[in-house]
This record gives sequence, C-alpha cells and structure tokens, in this order.
Amino acid sequence: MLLLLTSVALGSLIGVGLGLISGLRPGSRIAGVASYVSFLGVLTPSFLLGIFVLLAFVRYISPFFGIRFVLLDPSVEILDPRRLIAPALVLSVRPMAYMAQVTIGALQEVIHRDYVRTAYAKGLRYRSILGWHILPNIALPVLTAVNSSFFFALSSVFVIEWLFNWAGVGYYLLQAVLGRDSIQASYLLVSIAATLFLVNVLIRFAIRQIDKRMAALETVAT
Amino acid sequence: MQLRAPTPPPVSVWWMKYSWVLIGLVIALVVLSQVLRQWLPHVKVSAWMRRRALRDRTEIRLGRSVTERAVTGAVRFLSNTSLVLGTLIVLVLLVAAFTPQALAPYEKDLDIGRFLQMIEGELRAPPIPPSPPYPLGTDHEGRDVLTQIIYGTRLTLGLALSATVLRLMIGVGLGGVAGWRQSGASQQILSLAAVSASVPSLLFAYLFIVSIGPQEGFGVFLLGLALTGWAELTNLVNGAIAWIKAQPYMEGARTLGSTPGHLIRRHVFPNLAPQLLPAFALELSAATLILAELGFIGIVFGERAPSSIPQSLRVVQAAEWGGMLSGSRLLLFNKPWLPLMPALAFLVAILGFNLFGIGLRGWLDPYRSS
Repeated sequence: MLLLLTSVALGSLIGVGLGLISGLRPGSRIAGVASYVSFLGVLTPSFLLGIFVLLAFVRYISPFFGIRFVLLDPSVEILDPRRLIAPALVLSVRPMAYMAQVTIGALQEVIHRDYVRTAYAKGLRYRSILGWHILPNIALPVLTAVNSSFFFALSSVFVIEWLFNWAGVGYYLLQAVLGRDSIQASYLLVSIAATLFLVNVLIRFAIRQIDKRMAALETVAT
Repeated sequence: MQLRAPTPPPVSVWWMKYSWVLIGLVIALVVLSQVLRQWLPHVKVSAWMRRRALRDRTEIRLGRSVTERAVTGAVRFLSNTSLVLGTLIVLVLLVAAFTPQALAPYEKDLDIGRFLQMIEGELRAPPIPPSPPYPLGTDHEGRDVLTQIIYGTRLTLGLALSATVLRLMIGVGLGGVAGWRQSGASQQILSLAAVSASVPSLLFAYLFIVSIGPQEGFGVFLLGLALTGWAELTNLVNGAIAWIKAQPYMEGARTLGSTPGHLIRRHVFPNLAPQLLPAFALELSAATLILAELGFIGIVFGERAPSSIPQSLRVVQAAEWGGMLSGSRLLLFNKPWLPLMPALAFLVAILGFNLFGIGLRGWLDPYRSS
C-alpha cells in the first residue's frame, strides 16, 4: 500500500510537471519527445520495465553505492525507504505517462482561452498568469486523472511486488489466492477498496477547494 | 576414445540472411510516410491525376476513376505512419501464426538435449546465450528460443484473439441493448459495466483462473480474459448509439417507415463500425498484456498446477510465450535472455496491435482524430 501511494504520488507529480513543460510550448521539440515517451510509457508492459530496472539496480547501481536497493527475500520486516526507490520508479511510469497526456490535453483547451489572452494583455507576469488563470482551470481534469492513474498503478502492482519481492498488498494477495486463504484474500481486497475510496474522497475534496464552480454545482445537485 | 560434441545445424532462413535489407526497408517506409505526412496537405493527388487525364485526353468518368481512387488510397495509407508500422507487425504475426515453419530457423521438436555443444570452437552447455547458431539463445533443454517464440505465436495470439472476440460480443451486445432502448434495463447494464470496470483486469483474470484451476484448459483462460475488460466497449457502444439515434437522418428514415432491423443494418452499424474496429485492436493489445503478466506470475496455459517453479526444473508442455516467461524471474541475473526474449515478443505484439488500432482510427475517421 505504501508502495502504491508513493508511486502514484511520484508519477502524478512528475507527470504533471512533464505535461506542463510540454503543454505550455505546443509544437516544440520537447512536446514531440514527450508525446512519444508518454505513448511508450502507457504501452510498455510493467514487468518488462521492471526487469530492466531490476537488472540496472542489481548489476550497476547497488554495487556503485554499496547499498542493497533490492532484497531477494520478502520476509524482512524492517522498512528501509531506500528499497522503495526501484519498485516505485517502475510503478510510477504508467501513471506518469497518463498524467502527462491528460495535462497536455487540458492545457491545449485552456491556454488559448480569452481570459488567458486578456491576462497577457493586462501585462501580468507569466508566473501569476500560470498560477491564477491556467492552473486552477486545468485542476479538474488533472485531479480526476489521479484517480485513473491510481487504478493503473493498482492493476500492475501485483506483478511489480512479485518481481521485486516487496511484501505488500499485491504480494500477499497473490499468495492468499494461491493458498486458498479466502479470509486473508477478502481482507486484502477490502483494504484495497477502502484505499481507493479514500483517495477518491480526498481528490473530490481537493477539487471542491480549488474549483468553486464544482462546489456550487454539488450543493445545487444535492 | 574421443567424444564428439554435437554442433548445431547451420541456420539458413531467408529473413535472417537479409535482415539488414529488411530493417532498411522498414526504416525507408517510416521515413517515406513521415515525408508524405509533411507534404500531403500541399499535394492534391487527385487533382494532379485529373490534370494528367485531361492532358492525355483519357476518359473522365463521373466521380473518380479506379486508378485515381487506388492512388489516393495508397498515398493516404503510406502517409499514416502508425498504420504502416502496425500493419507490418500484424502481418508478420499472422504469418508466424499460420505458417511458423516458413520463419523458424529450426524444427519445432529439434531436441539436442542437455548436452554440451560445440559453438564457435568452444564447448558450451545449455542454456546457451545468444550466439550465431542461436540468435536468441537456447533454454535449459537446448531448444532454440527464437523457434519456440515463432511456434508459440499461434497459441498465444489465438488465445488473446478469441478472448477479445468474446469480450467484443459481450460489450457490444450489452452496450447495444443499453443504447438502443433507453429504459430502466439500460441503467442496470451501465451500472454493471461500472462495477466491472472498477476491478483491475489482471486481478479478475488471476482470481478467476486460479480459483477454477489453470489445468482445466482453454475455456478457463478464455473466460478469465473475456469476462473482465468489456466495460469500456459497452460504454463506447452505448454512447455511440445514443449519438446516432439523435441524428436527423435516423428521424428521416424512421418517418419514411424503416423497420428497426433496417435502421440498424443501414444506419447504426455503418456509423458504429469505424469506432469499433480501432477499439477492437486496442482491446486485443490489452488482452495480450494480461496474458503476458499472468504468464510472468506463473499462471500458464497447459500447466498442471499454478507454479513458480524455476524454469530449469520443469519442461513447459505447450509452446506459448507466457509459458516461456513463467518461472524465469530468478534467471534474470545470470541468464537474462530467457525472460527478456519472450517479454520483448509480447512488447512487439502489444505495440503492433496498438499502432494498428491508432492508425486504423486515423484511416477510418480522419476528422475526429485530427
């Protein structure tokens, strides 16, 4: 669960950053490269990427730093945050690519609107245009996409935890299903569902804080 | 007494001999399509052909001639990079699925066994890393990985294809009913689709196949892959039919007294198909991805029991990419080609289906994609 949340947070942050960089300059070389990379990132099977990252960490990065980043035995209980790096990196690629695509799409609609042009004409600084006029208006699709990217990460977390021997929800769920342990399996499924629900509620709260129109709509609807 | 180690027979497959030429051709096609895509708005092919026909005083029929349509179609096809690449990959996969003996460098059951082999003047024991006689290496039994991949195409992609067809039938059936009659039943169908979409496909397939048992064979894998991903298709078809029903031509046809069957055949289906075909290709790639991940976890078609037994200790019965992936996790560090090569085969197939779907969307529906 920790792995899942970390990777979604990491993927969302980097993805929105990449999307902002390439979406604010449409037609540039960065935007072209970013669109190809996000296409590949959505497509690549996570276990193939995991194989490459595991090989890189075990063969090259761990000997270089002298630290074991990847454990080959899942039963060690002590949590070392350094071990989070490799699996979170792999797991965050699909959320990252998806978030970048969504951010670019949302920016394309917003940056040519009248109010943005008016803000430029008023002579506002670029930073305040970005902060006051562009970012709040792409918040709704981008924050909604965090939900979907959480779902993306959830669907590949089983394979990645199994590959990296990470004793998390996915690993124990696979073991419980194989061992016909229905009680443990249902506990794990309920905990996954509860986390999804919590993330959903948090995101809706954040949207309501940022976008006042949504709050008004919801009070009218209910 | 002198023991002589067996040497593998020399490889003589045409596409491996001319592989550089083939790679060059593919790169040339991609460059050509990019160039055409840059120039296409400026070149009016049909206008050019019309002018030439006027000059040559050939017959100009009403409408466009066959040659003109063929040339325009070819230019449109070649300018669509993803469609060109996707079609190439899908064609190669089809050839590998139907006539694997034409592509494979060795016989299917060529079993040299776990003996030492003389390779490049050195004695080596299988698994042999990638080297000239074995382009992608061999497994523990001394069988060529490339041959196994080519022979496994039929089973792997056949499984994915049949699961996708079943998914399409479920999704289009439910979505069609929901979209065609906007009644209480359609709400129920849509909420069922929402429930199905909220379960990760891999999790559902894993739970289904493991709880019934992968040894039951084809049907379990088919249902496990097909009963999970249909929700997007249902939503797509439902939305498309609701959109089509609101169009004026439907109202006109209904006023003229068309029966529902005629309406569906003549108006709904032709407008639905351009959206359905790309979605089918994308679903196919999703099903292939689930098959790959299941194989990697160790749920393999043709196995007696779900296992992550190391690959060196067992013999995979059915030639299938997932079976080659299974149990290869611990071989990653010493024999990286054993898990990597089937995973790359999966990647190529997934990429091909996706490119084909995206290209097909651009081909069938040029206004919406641009």
